Amino acid sequence: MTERRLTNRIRMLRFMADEMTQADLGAAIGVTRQTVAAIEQGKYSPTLETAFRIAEVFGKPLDEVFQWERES
Amino acid sequence: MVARERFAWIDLIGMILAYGFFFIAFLQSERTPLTLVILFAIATAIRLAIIAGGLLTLSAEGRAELWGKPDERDRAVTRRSGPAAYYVLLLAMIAIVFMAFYCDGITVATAGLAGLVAADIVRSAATVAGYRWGWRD
Repeated sequence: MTERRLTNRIRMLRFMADEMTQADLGAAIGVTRQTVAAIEQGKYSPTLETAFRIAEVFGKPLDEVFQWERES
Repeated sequence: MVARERFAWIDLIGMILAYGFFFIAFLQSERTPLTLVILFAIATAIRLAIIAGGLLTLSAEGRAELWGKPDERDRAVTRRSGPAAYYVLLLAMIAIVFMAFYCDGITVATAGLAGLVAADIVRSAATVAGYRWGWRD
């Protein structure tokens, strides 16, 4: 089985959303700023529900926010 | 650093200091049941004092999230640190059952406390590791 990892574009999407802060995004989806930071850094994989909430905040489909890529 | 992570560090350091003192002091004493109980009570009081100090410090810093509802990452970290401690406790209890046939009561009691402390330290260390380095499923 090919090893895959979850990556995301949250940092870029926050930048494009008027430099939304991690705290603001956290408040919008119901997690702490540190949890948003951990998700951005790939240290924590969010639940499906939180992933959808993040996508909803940015008005993007889920696969534009999160990608499931093959590890190089 | 999230308040819950800081508290996990305080808990871990408090445990190592308090029960480190307990085992060093007890192994250097006459090893009577009364000494065991008194030293363990002192160590537990030290641990509680460190935890209380940590909570007061975090509250004074306005870290209100410590008292709030844990978010999903907090719950995931807690959920994952439990099983590690469980296996340590399980191994310790198996060892103690066998020790009961060959060792005196005070040694078995000390080993039992060591098992409990080791399991709690592993739980706390796993919590810290979960916050610091994360886990990838």
